[in-house]
Amino acid sequence: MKKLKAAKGRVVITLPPGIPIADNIRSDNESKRAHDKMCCNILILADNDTEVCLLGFDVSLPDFTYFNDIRDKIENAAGVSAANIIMWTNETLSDTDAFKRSYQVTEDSVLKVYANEISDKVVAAVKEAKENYEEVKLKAGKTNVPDIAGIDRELMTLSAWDKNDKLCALLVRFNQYPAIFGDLKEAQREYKKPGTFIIDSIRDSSVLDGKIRFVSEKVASPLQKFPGRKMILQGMAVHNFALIALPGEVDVESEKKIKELSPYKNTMIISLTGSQLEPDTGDTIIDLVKEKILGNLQKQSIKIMERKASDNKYLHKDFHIALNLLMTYIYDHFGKDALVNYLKQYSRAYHLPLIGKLKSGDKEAMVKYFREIYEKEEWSVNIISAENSVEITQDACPAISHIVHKGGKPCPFYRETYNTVYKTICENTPFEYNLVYFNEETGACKQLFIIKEVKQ
Amino acid sequence: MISCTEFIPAYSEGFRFFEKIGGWQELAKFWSYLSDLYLKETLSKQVAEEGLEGCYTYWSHSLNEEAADFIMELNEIKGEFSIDMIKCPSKGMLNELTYMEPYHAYCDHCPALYRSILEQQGYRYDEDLSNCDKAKCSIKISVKNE
Repeated sequence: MKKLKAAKGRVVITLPPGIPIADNIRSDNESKRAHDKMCCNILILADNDTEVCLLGFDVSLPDFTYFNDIRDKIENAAGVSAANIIMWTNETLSDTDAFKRSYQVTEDSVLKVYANEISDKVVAAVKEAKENYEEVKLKAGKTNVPDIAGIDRELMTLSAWDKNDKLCALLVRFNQYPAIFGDLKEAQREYKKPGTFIIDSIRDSSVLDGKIRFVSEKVASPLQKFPGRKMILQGMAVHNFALIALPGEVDVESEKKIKELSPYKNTMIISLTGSQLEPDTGDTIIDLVKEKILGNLQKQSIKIMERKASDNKYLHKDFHIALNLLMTYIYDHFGKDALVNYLKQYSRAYHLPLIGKLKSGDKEAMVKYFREIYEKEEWSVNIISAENSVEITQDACPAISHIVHKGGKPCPFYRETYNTVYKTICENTPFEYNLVYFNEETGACKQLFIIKEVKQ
Repeated sequence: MISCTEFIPAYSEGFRFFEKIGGWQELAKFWSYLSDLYLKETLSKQVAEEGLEGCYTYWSHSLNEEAADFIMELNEIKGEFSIDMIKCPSKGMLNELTYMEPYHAYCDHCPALYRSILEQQGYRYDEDLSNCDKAKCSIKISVKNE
């Protein structure tokens, strides 16, 4: 199972009194006090190669230019790639445009000061959260909430579970609004009635197994009010779960179309809510998501390799390790005689054609065999074929070298892959085999095949 | 020397040797030992670190070095990894060595080596060895809760 890590954090960013608020019934458009704390909730997910930071703000913030500013600050201070930071604002009654207008008024406006404070707090909180990564299992699930207004009844959860199988972070997305929670009670309190369905979604969840796949694409803004500007589309996928982050809030129908296009069973859409896209931009966004996000995520999630035998050379050196383990097992469990008997059995069976040639005194068949075998091993050897002998000298054994290189230990009597094997193939032939010397550590050796009649 | 290119017949004869010495049980014990040691630093570690993609990493290396004829697919969306072995280089080699008889249950070593490792890590291992005498087989490794 793929190991994933998660870190979470929370920082209070409650609006200070005096902040201008739009979309309310007060004539002065100024906030007087806060009923509840407002927070930025942080969830960071990572594997060995990819780190993704999710930031959910309880307040409507200026447009994506402000978001990009926070992204850059986090990258510089906390080392999370700016492209891999997904941010959104939860729905509040404050209006983004009002915030934006106020933000741009003067350097010392209360909103500007507040916005800068938020950046600093969030950057510090992300940095701190990253110091507390823990190994987690991720699960994704969904359920439909009945009897609600609107056409998107899907409630989806992405949950992180610690090594004791305790829920440690939860991302809920319902009715177009995503939010990060530290535990289940908190999520249920927030969602009230639909909160009971969070449990259903978690029960429906399955473990996500796989690497974090991530795509971030800068695209031309489809918003007429930001001509020529680049917006960021992002996508994250793990196993059958995908999270698509859109730079603006699209209509429910467009979101449903994106989900239908997605090959991922659980597709969660996160919009930078409050930053409503203009009418008729839905189709543009759908096309962009299909091409730039879903297509690229799918390419990462699905890999196919097709090979013909002729595409590669047959040389799998790890087989030396497997043979060494086989020999070690025989030696450890049944002793040296059994090891020698096994090597004799192998030699008589596999080298039958060569044995036949040696019986007829075919010295060149032996030379050919050795030249070919060392060539296949891509190993240097000195073979001297004289009138009545064949002498083979090597500075090291390719098998022992590979076993040692991979941290293994050659089997005691590894030399028998020379001594027993070649003595066996010389049985009842005119040849006699002599392992003149053999270095147990390196396999450096000299081997001599002599025609017996000449020896006499 | 037994070259790594000569390992397969040595492996096949090893299986025959174990069966002769202690029956099927002895061979199963050896396969279990080999699975633990041979795959500990490779498949086992790669799957622990990479999930299903670890299968892709492991077999990309071994099947290419063994010059196999295959189609391999990692589909993380479905939670599946599969190999369609068109020509297994090991069984193919044994079939070509007409002068020696391959061990009668040679292909059983694959599930014996891989299944336990993958099941321990939460995966399901399915194999189809019905055509293994023709050096064809397939395996599918899937996430259990799919």
